[in-house]
Amino acid sequence: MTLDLILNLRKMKNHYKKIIFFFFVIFYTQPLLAEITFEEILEDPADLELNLNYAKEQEGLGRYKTTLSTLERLNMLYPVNTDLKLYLISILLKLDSAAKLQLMLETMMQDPNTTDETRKYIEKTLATIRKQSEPKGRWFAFADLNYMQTDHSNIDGISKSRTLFGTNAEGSMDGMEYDKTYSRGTSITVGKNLDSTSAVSFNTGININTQNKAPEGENDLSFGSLTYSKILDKHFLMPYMFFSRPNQRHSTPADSLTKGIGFNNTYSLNNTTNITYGSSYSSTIFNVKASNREANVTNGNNEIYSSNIGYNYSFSDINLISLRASAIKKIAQADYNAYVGHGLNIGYTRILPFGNLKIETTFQQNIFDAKNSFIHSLIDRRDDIETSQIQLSGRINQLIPFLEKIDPKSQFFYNFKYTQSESNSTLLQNSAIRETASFNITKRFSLYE
Amino acid sequence: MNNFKTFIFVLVILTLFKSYAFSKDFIGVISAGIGEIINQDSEKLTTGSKIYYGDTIIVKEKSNAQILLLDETALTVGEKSELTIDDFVYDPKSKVGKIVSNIKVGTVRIITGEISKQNPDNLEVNVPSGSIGARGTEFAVVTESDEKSTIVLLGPGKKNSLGMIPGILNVSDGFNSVNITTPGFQSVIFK
Repeated sequence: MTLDLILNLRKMKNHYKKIIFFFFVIFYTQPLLAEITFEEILEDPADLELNLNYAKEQEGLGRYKTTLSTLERLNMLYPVNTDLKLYLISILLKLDSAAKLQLMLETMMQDPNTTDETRKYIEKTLATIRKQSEPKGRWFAFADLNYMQTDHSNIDGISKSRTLFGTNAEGSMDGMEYDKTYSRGTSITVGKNLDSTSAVSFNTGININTQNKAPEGENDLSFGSLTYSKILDKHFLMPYMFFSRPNQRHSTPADSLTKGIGFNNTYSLNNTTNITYGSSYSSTIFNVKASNREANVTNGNNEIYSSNIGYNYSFSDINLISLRASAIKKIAQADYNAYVGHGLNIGYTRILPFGNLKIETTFQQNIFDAKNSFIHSLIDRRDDIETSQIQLSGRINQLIPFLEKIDPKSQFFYNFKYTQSESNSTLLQNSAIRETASFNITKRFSLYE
Repeated sequence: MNNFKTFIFVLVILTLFKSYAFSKDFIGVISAGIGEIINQDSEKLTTGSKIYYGDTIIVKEKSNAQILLLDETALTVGEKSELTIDDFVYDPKSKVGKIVSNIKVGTVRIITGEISKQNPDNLEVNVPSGSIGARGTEFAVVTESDEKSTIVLLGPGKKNSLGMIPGILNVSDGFNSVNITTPGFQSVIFK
């Protein structure tokens, strides 16, 4: 059966192979990833090393209640072990179990075995809890520093046939394929928790995007957003507004300004299932300058209406399956840039001890409103795009545990992403295969909390 | 020869009957036992002792224990407490089952496991003056007497940073019921 599977895989497209390979890895390596079983714990519930490793493993898998019950047991069995107590406190803090935490800390303060160093830590934690218990809106602020490097297999989108249409005639298509891009960015977020169920935040920043071999795609992108969030019973509501403004370094592509509004809401059906739905509107206006007046850049001016609805189901605490359908309507100054699109996204996320693994595939079809006579006056444009993505993201402490010492707040994040996109279009130049592989690290600095 | 066959047949039946009649279903362990802990037969229980269907756990003065059930429900039992696991059915593959526990007296803290997660209605904790249903949470039950029990919702809180949905307790005295949704809040059931 395994041989059949391998033979069949050879006949399939590359990205399918990769997806099936990752599913295979995920499901068949499960026993290796969860090294300690619950049966082993039942056999030996008092073994300090075994149970402590089990607690850490379960925490990494997002099973915090199991971590909590294991640490409470170890705390009962080893009452003078300060490290266990501190680990338990950290979990209680994350769980927001303030009443229980306060009781435990006060008990520890009265314990003669508690060291002076631990007492100082407890006093600090108690002060934080008391501060958090104050019933008032609280401000928060943080800054993010971000670096991303991306390898592109086909940066100019050279078509699969290496040909294109130009005023109804077929010609060869040249350009750059492999290249790298680099993005360095910084952003700041300031917000306020209005009460226990709502918050408002403002985010603004800039990304400096450069390309290794060619300057055409280089720009400085400034952006900003204002977001409000509210929990209403089983509903999580999140309306937002945003802008983004690329400042192109090369004179040919015009600068533009995009502004938009939208919402992303979630409705929880139960502990394992929720429905997401959202909608947005955006408007993009290109700047006309002396250098680009001849290029009719305003033909690119557009308005986009989009909406989506999704279904998410989680099982075994560590697996999430998602399905999302989307629709998009783009209205452009030039009709040949306008289209109606429909998409379907299928995703699977698994929480691993070292991060979250997400695999997803999107099928998108865009049907354009009018023919582009500069390209081909007889062919209606229709693009069918299939995009597959594999992504691993998390905190760097999860990958390299000893970094906890230099990053105790776990505010260093990583993201590896591989994307393959295949577009099949009625127009030659729009049928292309693109692959990108990117690595992204973000360091967050809490400015006020 | 016939007598021999009959003898073997009777022996097999007796053996099967014996194992059916006297075996007890293993449902969990005393995962931590500090001090004096006994069962309904006054057998001493220590860390690692097995718990069987229908067992009563009695935790004496200056003692405490944690009981870990097969569905990963954890019960931390304080001193001078007594509880019985009246019903426990669990299928580890589907993670579906049912727990009914009676807390006669004392303090018991419960972290819910897989059974409650699959179907919150399938975890039932009874006290002399009423009953508690729990939905994905941690809570404590303090039964002072047959007349009075206090139930406290412990967590996780609404501001937890782990993406966990805050739990809900449904407390009933048999006539009226009330939901506790805020950690730290409590309800007292009088008979």
